[in-house]
Amino acid sequence: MMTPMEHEAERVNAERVAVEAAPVAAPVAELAVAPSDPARGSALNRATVVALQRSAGNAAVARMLLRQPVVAPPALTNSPQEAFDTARKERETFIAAGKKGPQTYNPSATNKDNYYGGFDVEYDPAKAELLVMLKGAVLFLAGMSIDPAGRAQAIEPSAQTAAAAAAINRLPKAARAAEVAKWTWSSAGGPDSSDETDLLTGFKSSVEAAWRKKHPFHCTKEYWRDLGATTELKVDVAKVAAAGGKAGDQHMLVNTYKVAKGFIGGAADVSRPGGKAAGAFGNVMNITSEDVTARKDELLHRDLSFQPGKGLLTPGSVGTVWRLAKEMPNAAPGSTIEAAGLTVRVQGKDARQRRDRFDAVLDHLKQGGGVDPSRAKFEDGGEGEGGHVTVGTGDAQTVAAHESGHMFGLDDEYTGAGAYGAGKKTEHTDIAAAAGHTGAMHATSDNIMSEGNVVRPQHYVTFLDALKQVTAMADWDYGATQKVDPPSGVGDFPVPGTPGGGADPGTAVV
Amino acid sequence: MSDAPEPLLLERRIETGEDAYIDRITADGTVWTGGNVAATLEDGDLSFERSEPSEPRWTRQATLQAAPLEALRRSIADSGFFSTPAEHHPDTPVIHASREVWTAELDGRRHTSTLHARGTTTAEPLSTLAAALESALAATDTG
Repeated sequence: MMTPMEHEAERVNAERVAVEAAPVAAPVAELAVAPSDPARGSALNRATVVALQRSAGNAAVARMLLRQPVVAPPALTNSPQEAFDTARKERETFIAAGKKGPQTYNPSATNKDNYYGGFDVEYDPAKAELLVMLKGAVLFLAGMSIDPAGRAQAIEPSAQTAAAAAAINRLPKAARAAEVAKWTWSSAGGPDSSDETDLLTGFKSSVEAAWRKKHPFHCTKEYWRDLGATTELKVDVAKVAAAGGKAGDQHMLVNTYKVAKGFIGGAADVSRPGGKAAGAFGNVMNITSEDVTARKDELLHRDLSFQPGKGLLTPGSVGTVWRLAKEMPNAAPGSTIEAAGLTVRVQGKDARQRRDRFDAVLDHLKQGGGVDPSRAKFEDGGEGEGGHVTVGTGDAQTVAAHESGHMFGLDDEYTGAGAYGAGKKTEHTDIAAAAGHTGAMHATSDNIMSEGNVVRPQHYVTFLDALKQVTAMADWDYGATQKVDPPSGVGDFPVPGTPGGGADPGTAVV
Repeated sequence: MSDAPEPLLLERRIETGEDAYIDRITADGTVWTGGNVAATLEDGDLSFERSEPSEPRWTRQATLQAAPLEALRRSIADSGFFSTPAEHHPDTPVIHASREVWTAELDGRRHTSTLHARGTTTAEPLSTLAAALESALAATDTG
């Protein structure tokens, strides 16, 4: 039979054993114990105490501490505070070292599916700014000429310019020269006096506005999470007299065909003659003089009509809805990238008929391409027999901004034949998925690499990659900066399993 | 789809995205334009009309006289078109470029060849056909 004193001594000893054996979630480094003093047993460092308090509760730890030597313990080492201080010092050193770069980024170097694009990048840690620089040499080319026989000849290679040349050639010969002149830059005698300046400033402003400051990045290193990167764009384009005038540090030759004002269409493309081997400075972009302003061809809009007095679409509109549905597959299961939504504005004699007609559109979207009805939103269009479908925001794209997306290493996302089939992978799908944005595909949407102007996170994937490269640090991710607090010290941690103490980890300590 | 005029002698179809503009000459020398994009000029203002890609419209423009029609036939026969590959690609891919689809029918032979990345890619037989087509169209020009 134990005396009360003996009983208490045994209880305290049991607590000590239990505390020392208690599982803790803290990193191993935080549990490091200071060098032992053989004469006095093991001394506990600050981290160990905190970890034990969190797992066993402060009451048990306090009792154990009473058994510790009363003399000053050895200096604490490897504490969270030290880790914090070291990380912050490294962070300040990183910032004080100044700008990182500029450095050239070649999308082909990290994305095996890529064969185009290139830009320079610089990171200024003091300003928390990632500067993306795109440089181009602009060659101004006539979109059309007139031959000695007085016939307009299309130079700009699109179907639309061919149609325009045919229209001009239906005019009397005497009237053709004036029309063809509208396809000539002012420096070569064209009538639009400021067209070259307008093009250069329009290119710069449209690309910068489309791409800057869309998705912040932050450093993921421990205690560096308040270090961020906001993406700024700097586009420098300058006129050259000939293709050979492109400087070695310019990423692209921009062949810019003059077209008549109001022209809709034109061929716009990006290529890298020589392929991957040609590198970040070997790109060619073809655009027209109208490509630095918003498109006028309403790519994200479809007009509909309903059979008079009925809830049914006209046969022509059924075709319109089915074609759209086939271009807009649902996001694949598990994708983080959402498919674009649709706004369906419907007219009808009353609210009921408008709802019936909306349901008819939903049915055809589903029949035509399996479009999930939850993607479509109803909009009351009042009285009438018409309707309208808007894809996503419906905002018009500026072609130069889209083409610059290729310079940033991104593929098209719109649909077409072959590899552009709706639902198929793009050439940036895999690299975007590796950065956490899964399911990029070819589909009609308001994305800038499809038919709209919205720059989504997956479109920043090469900027993120470039940031990692220029800082020689892989610890970056999407998202705003986060507040960094120093580690908390020894505090009052209630016993787990008691109010305020969190879940009981299942130790013997009560 | 409205049927293309037949019998065919030569057709050039220029495609940009979903838009197509077509010059087509039938064996009897009739000159047609077609496709789903058409341009009009009125008082100096250019406007475009589009139809669904699956619904090309055809407009009869003129008729070749016997001499230019025979010259066109000779040019087609001498161009080497019937032995040119069905596809001409650029050395490296060009993202969403226009393309040009040529089809000719002569002496019971019919052949189609596609030039991808129009404006970047060249193929000699197709350049020869382009010059011959332009000569034929110029021969109908009464402006």
